[in-house]
Amino acid sequence: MMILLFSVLIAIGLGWTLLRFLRAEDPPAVFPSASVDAHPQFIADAVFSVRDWSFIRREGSPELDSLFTHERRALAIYWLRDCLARIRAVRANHLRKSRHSEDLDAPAEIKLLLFSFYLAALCRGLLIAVHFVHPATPRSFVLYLQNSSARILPSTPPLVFSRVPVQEVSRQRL
Amino acid sequence: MLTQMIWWSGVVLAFLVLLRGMRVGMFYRFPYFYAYLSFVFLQSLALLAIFHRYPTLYGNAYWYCEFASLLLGSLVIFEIYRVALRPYPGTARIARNLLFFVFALTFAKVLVNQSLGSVYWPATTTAELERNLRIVQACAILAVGVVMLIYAIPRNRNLKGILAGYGLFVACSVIQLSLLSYLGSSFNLLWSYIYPFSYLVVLCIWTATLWSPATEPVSPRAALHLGVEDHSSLIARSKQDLQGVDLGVPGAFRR
Repeated sequence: MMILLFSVLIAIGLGWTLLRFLRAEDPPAVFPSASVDAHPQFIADAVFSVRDWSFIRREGSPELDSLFTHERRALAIYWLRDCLARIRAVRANHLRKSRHSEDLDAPAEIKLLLFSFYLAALCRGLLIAVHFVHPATPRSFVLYLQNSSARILPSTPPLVFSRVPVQEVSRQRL
Repeated sequence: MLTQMIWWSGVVLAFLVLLRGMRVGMFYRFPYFYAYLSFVFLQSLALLAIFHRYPTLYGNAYWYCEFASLLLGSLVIFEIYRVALRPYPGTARIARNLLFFVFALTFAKVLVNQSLGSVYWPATTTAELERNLRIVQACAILAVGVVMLIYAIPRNRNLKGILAGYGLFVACSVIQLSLLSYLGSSFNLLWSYIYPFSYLVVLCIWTATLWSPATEPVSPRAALHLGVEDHSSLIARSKQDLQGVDLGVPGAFRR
């Protein structure tokens, strides 16, 4: 029974790969210069800022809270999609160049590919969380990683230096 | 009657692909593939003759031919690798590493089985042995296909057809042979229809995709006269770019 399941899995995997292989378009002969420039800092600040949330909470208006949640969700989704697109662009550019390398270092190449897949998976996971849980999930996730890494390796530098703004503009009550 | 029809259709289609390949000069572009197809064509005719004249010998003859075509089929995988990755030495190296991994894993399994006191390959019937060898072939095709997909290797219609056709045939064989080993004789009758029919579908794919030679995809490097960058500096730059989008999780790529 086990070998039957294994065979079916292998056959399905092969079928899926062939389907992708047939559907995939041939890449253009000219390398498109993929944009890997950083997205505007204010978007990341908005995704990671905690002051805006506390300001809105202090207002005590459920309508305002819901409107703000909606707006922050849209921003977080935009930010994560942008990250995903940048990861894809970096990977595609790298692969297009490395396929010609005569001196390709296979372990380093595989490590880099796995790292890019890991980052992309992280983005997708956060996108799902932002959709279904809360727009502040990326912030909570990064803070959680920061705390756990500090617990495991106290000498490790903080994980989220630039993402959480050090000094935020204080808001005045309207 | 239906089996005979499928069989003859297969023979006619294989002949058509061979004839067409000879006329348009595809034999020189894909010599292993056409050697394999010629063998399958001759094998079908020989087996048909044996089936009618010496039915008692048919079983043995069938399995001998099947193993010979399996070995020749492995050369088709090598040809796909050779033709598609020739202008891409970097990707070829990754594919070679993956193929080496697949074969090393197979070899390790054989060694482990031997050290446990069992036979080299745990196959009690010829169908099981063929299934195991087809699984190795499937893994090899999977490795080459995945590498070509990841590196976005340009491929023309002919190459797509050969890989899709042979891959489909191997995938169907793996499932059918597994079911044959698992269900035993109750699957035999159905298998005698399904197996030649799946091969007929594969021949249809080859007829359509190998009817005329497709133009060779142009290598971007050749087209743009691009220089090859040192791989270590390329890795360093891509690593830096990825760390720029690290979502606040650096440290995962420290060497």
